[in-house]
Amino acid sequence: MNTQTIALPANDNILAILNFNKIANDLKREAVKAMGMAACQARCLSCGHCSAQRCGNR
Amino acid sequence: MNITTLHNNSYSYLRQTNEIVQGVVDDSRYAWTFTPPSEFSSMPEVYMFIIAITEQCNLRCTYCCYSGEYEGNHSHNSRTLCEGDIQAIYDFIAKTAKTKPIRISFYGGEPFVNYPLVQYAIQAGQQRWEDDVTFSVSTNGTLLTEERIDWLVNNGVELAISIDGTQPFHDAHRVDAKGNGSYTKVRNALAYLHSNTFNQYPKVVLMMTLPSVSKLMPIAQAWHKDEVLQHYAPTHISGLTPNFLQGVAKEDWETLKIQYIQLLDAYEQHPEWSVLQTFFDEIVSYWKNRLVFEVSESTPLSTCMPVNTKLYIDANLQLAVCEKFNDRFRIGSINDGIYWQKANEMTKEYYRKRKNRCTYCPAVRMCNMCLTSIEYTDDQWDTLCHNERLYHKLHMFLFCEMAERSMLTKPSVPTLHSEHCTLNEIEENDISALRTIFSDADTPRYLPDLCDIAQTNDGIKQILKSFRTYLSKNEGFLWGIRKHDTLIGLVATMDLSTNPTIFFAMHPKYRNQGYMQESVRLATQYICDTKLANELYTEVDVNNIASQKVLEHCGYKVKEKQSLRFLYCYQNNNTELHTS
Repeated sequence: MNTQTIALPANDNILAILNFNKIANDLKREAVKAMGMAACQARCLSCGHCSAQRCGNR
Repeated sequence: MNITTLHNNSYSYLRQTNEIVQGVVDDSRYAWTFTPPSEFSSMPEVYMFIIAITEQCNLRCTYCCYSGEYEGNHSHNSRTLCEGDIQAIYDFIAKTAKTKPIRISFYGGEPFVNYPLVQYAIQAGQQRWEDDVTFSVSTNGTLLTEERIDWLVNNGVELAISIDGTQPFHDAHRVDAKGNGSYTKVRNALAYLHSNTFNQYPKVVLMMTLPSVSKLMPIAQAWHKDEVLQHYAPTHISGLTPNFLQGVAKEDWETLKIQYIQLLDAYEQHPEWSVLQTFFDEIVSYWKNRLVFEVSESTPLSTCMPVNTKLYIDANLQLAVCEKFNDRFRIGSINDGIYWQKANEMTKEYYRKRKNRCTYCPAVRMCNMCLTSIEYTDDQWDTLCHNERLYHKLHMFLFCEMAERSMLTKPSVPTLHSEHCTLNEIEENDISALRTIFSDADTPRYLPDLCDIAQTNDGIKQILKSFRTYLSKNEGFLWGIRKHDTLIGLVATMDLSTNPTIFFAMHPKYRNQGYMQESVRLATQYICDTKLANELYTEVDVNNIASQKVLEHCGYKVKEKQSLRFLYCYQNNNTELHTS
């Protein structure tokens, strides 16, 4: 276990990092619609790894 | 969902808002509801088609879902498509694909056991759709000869290659029918791809299966040291598909937490280990990217259909939503099209299963129990739900822990501006400009060790990679000096915590014009202002008068005189940076 003393960022900074993608109300409708996307599809769009963001793999 | 980090900070996840808040907050009263699925008779988003070229494979990986050990799935056999099948499939695709470009992925078994057919299929697809089609192949990598690689690369085919680590780890499971490992052949293919196509061909994705998390550390360490694998990062790391015939255990929170804390500590010590990077990137991906907004009404249930973007075509020309579906859940054929009644029944069955289970579940917004889960019994769902919730809680814990350890923000080379220059990150497309600087007559005289390494493009890439490691540990920076957009020189600092060092080099065309003085001053100031070091050292050849003048104008003083070199030092507390 890492026992090094670490200076913690201020708590409000932490929460800003943990809740980075707060969206405005006018985008809520699209966001709710996107909840119908399959988990693997949503992951596929966010991983950014493969060249066209479509790996079509397991 | 509540967790407490190692620094004793408590965080709660609120599923109604998708937010993480401090302290222990109970949001279990909110009853989540899904909108009942509507009847559908079209799939308007489909553009990706996964085609099982064959059910044959030259390997018998121990964990394969086609090993005969998974209920409902076929075993390996000799069933293979023919050219006529490919044309019939393409007729179906032409009728079905709603958007372009079309994406066609070849699957198996091992597609390359019938390499001529894969070639035929790619050429036929290019003939039919020209630039409106892209191809990929999922392969075990053992049948990739140099000639085949050349052809596939020249035709722009993406390769998804399975590799589970270096030899002991890969060959533990990825073996042929006689038990012989497959690692050497896969590594040879990757070595050829790297040496011949590195800059021109980024379309190689590496798929790692991790049967046990306990192996992750040694896998990561060995990968980093391997001379071929170190040039690649695994694209995706997956665990094994649950196999209830062999038994699926309910995981234990405390055991998992201890195990993953050890892995996180290792990652903190070794942020440059690409296997750990991929592993933790995937763990926190949902948490980092999730949209934080409140729901107050019923939400759509992710049932794949009818908004699925892909369809799977098996070697019997039967259709499924994706290749992960058990053989029992086919929804049509290329001759008959989609059996809409069956497809609708599947989504309704899935909705029925989740409707009650998920009402008060803390993981409802991030659950991975997708439509493929309809194959499981209620008891099996109980086990999988338990594990699903546990892992999401674990991932939330790791996300919060990483945030507290400042591990979520990747360090980047700071951009600095002087009157005439900009200092910023050197990229791989700067390599040819760097070659000019390193190969000039003076630079090797005054920076012999560096120029030794930088004699080839690979050597320069190695230097860039070393500085990425320095950057990740806050131990150094490599800045390119740019006049407008042209790279004219470099200045670098390294070993900041132990032996803070600076060195620099300028393209001959831009020397003696004040650019290096501006740049060294900027870099020195940055290091001191950010308190990364209070002093900086550099050795200068006694004949390198130009560099000596640069340093002296920037407040550096000679600390030691040797017969061939001067040791210069800048000390932050005694000297102000001159502006002359």
